[in-house]
Amino acid sequence: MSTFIARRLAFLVFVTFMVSTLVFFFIHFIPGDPLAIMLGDTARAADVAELRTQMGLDRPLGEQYVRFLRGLVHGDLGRSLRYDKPVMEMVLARLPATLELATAAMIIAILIAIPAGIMSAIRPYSAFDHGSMFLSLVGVSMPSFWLGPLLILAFAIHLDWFPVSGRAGISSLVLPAITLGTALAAILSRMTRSAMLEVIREEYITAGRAKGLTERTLILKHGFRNALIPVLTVLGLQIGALLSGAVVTEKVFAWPGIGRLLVDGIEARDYPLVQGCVLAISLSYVLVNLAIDLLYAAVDPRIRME
Amino acid sequence: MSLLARVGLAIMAITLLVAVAAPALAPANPDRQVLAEKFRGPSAEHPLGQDRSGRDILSRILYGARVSMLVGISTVAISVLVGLFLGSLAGYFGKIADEVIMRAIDILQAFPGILLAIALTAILGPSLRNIVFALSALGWVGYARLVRGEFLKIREMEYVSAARALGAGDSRIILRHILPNLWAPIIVQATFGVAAAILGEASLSFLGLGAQGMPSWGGMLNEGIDYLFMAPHLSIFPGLALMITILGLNFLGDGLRDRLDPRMRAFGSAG
Amino acid sequence: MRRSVTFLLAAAFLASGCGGSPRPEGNTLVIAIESNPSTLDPRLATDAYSSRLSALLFNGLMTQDRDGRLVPDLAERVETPDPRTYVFHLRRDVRFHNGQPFTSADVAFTIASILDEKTRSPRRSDFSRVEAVETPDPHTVIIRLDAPYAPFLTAAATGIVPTDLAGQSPESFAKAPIGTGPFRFSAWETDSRVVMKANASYHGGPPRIESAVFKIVPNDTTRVLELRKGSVDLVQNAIPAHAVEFLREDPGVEVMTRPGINFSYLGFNMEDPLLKKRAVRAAIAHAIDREAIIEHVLQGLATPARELLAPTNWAYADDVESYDYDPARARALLDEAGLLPDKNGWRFAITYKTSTNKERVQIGESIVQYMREVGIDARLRSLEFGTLYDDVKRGNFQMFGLTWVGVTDPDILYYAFHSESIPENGANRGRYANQRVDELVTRAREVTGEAERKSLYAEALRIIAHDLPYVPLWYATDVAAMQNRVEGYDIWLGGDLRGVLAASLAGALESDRSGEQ
Repeated sequence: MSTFIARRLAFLVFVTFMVSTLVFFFIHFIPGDPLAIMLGDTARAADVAELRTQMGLDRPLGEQYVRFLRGLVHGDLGRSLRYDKPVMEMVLARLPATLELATAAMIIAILIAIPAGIMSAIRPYSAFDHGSMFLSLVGVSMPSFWLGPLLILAFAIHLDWFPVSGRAGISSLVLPAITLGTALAAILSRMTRSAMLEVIREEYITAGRAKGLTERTLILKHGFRNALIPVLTVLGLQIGALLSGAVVTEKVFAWPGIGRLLVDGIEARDYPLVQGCVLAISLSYVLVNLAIDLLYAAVDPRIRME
Repeated sequence: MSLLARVGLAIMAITLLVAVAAPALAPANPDRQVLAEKFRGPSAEHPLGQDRSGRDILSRILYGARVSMLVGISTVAISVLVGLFLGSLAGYFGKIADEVIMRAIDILQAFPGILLAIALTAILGPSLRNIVFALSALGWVGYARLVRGEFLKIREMEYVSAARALGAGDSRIILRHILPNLWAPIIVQATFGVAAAILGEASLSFLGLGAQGMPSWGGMLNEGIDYLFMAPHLSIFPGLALMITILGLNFLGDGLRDRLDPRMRAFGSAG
Repeated sequence: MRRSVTFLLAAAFLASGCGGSPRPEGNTLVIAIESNPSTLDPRLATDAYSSRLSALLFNGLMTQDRDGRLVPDLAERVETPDPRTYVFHLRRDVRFHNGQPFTSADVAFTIASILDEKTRSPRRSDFSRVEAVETPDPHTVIIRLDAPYAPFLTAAATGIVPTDLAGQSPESFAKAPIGTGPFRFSAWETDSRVVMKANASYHGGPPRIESAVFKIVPNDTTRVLELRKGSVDLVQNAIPAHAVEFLREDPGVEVMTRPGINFSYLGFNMEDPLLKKRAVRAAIAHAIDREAIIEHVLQGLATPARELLAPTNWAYADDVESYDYDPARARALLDEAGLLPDKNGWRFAITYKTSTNKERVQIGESIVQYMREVGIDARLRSLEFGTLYDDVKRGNFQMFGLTWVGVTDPDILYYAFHSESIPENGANRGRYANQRVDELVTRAREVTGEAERKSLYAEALRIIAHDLPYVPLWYATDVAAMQNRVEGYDIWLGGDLRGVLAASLAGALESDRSGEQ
């Protein structure tokens, strides 16, 4: 177990390093000058050049990269060019909003998808199965920038249940979380259904049935437990999509998350800020997957930590 | 094949046909603006109405099928090819090749796709080709994982060992013995991949980085959302086109899975 | 599945306890804005919302009034004994938000800090002509320039910060700025909101509301829905034209408009082999039906423009050449220039670059269509802003579309058209060069008499209108949409938010107004 965690931590360092490298060169290759965007038209060329020197942006890229890595080792992500604030502080202020949104979306997706998936699997090709399949297909085919305003119109304007946008308490979380979670719910419910179908067919369930265990016990205790593995796998893979997809939802709902910070940072060519945001998103992804790996073990003792 | 799968296949066939024959089918030039006729609802001349610039919505949807199909199919084609190649390398040769490729996949998956897409379209310019490129850059990962997994399973099976014992070369084993077993899961995955790519283009449209100079469903939806209250037909029709196509792809994918995936075949073609 | 959705919604609804409009209590005005300001420090502001919000927290020696005219603000009056010397007599009744009185030392400090390269102020070039700042007494500032420079008074509208930033580090000052303005800074949550409280002892009389919340809502549709719901009281200019019509139908919302000054134009690259021919530029100008675009795309919320300066500007020239919609004329001009259609009907191909903003894209699509109708194979390319800006600066374009926002000083002509203002030195992105224009706009900086400057600018504007480095499109109409309960709001030009100074909320208890003049 401890070697497993040590390995994963080494992996974490490796991914952090590679992602940092990748994002560093990526963002520097995008055309555009952070200072031109920052200072606008009224700045004099000489002032811009001076500032560039001051900020070290005129140094060779390799040198800037080494400086960036050195900062990273010391936990220093540099200062945002646009806001002139420490990137670490900005990222830490915004990451919770995105994690909160992604977690809520995931919970909503799980609460909807797993019961629906199990029901579908118990009665495959029933009206319920077809109905939930249809709904989940509608779910995946609705882009969130379309679903979001529809939900606002229905639940914030007509029914007046929730605020339109912003982040102020739990009621403001509901609509963005549904918007972000819908596609995941759709994928998850189908995954649950097929995983359950597979498990239900396996012998020990049949055997259990022969032993006279109730259908309920069988499905819940044996079936679901075993079906959880593929479902967890999908969940782990979807975390990335959830964190990335949050950008659109954050924009629609004026949610002050890290996705918006990232996209605005790209637009302003705020190199340190973009690097910090990407790093934060990547680390969240890796850590969540680590947690899921640990969950595997809890769910299925057969899986050994290698 | 199940009824739903047949319906899915029909939808896909029709969409493809529309994409190919759009110039012949479209009643009007999709770019022609009649500003004075903006927001008009369905009429005899414009069966689905006119958009914010007075353009014919039906023609735009028909032409939009081209962008969706092109983006969907080419993204998946590239992703499958790359995934197949790298997945085979990793799965067949193992060791260093496997380690390198799997770590690359880990890194790519931890990398926010949105940055990749924005960066690529910003560096290379917002063209259809680059959208496909940006979507494929992450798209191949799923196929590579799938292929590698199947390889690991098949590699140790008897007939492969037998072929190797008979002196067959690596490429022969891969091409003749292993790949034929892979196409079923890949096709299933690919149908969902096409749907994901079509939606990916739509999301890029929302961020202003979608297809340009030609109508796309995602772009139309993004334009139409602003007029949800005053002219809902602007977003409803392209939304329906998108939804029906994605439905079709999913029906097809499910149907193919039931049919091709031996573990699921047991359930027969009920429904 | 449907049932579980409903159940979940109900659960969340119960958890939240109430209908979802978390409005701040009391006499608070909520204003939705499109983007987060980069800074609230007036010395550092470049983007529109940084300037608009810092104008509520700070005052300059001069300021632009609601009509965009330059008037004294912290200065009671200003004298110019000679074109190189400005004497500002300061108001004596002004205090900073921390209670410290405002004096000439603060002015000297502000200018010195702007000139200090460590401040990284984009205003530095505006003040680069300052040779000396003298403070003979706490209420007089004498500024000497090394050469006559008429636009200096516009620079003098930059907000004044307290000496030594009232003892704070630049970093903490940036987080909680202290000014003399009608509002005191209260809170700033990046990408979420900026909160300000009324300055009860404001020298110009306190605002009638107790506090103002600027809620940052980036998505157009969402902003409109916020207003519709009533969780936002006011939106100014950040409303897409089509939504204005929709809001007008809402009985709870009042829509106010005022002819504006924000100038949209189509810029040419004058070094492009085709576009350097005036006939080609004139043909393009004649090919575009601006009136139709204004009517149908902008829903009438713009006025056709003939030059960069708006009619309300004191230097506006009313006798410049204009180019009416005349496709036949456009074709004839192109024929004469030898640019005949090929077998597909195209004379030549051209690319028009614009940003990814939806309205800009829509306008771009229409412009491109009009050009195609006269046989120009025009293509629209909408680029993410950072890339567009970079391309435009580097001259990597044939045609582009942008807008000048909030221009009030005619010295803009120097920035935009002087041959030495080619980026990085200015904003002559099209690489326009005309010796006479260079002379005129340079001379207009050196003379201080308004009449003389006006005639110099008038000649420059006439030449520019003829040479056509830009196709002038229109001035956007300023629009404010607000809840009916907002009273007394007044639109200031170009998106300026100081209209909130006079605004009050019906039914809300007004703050202590004893300080009002």
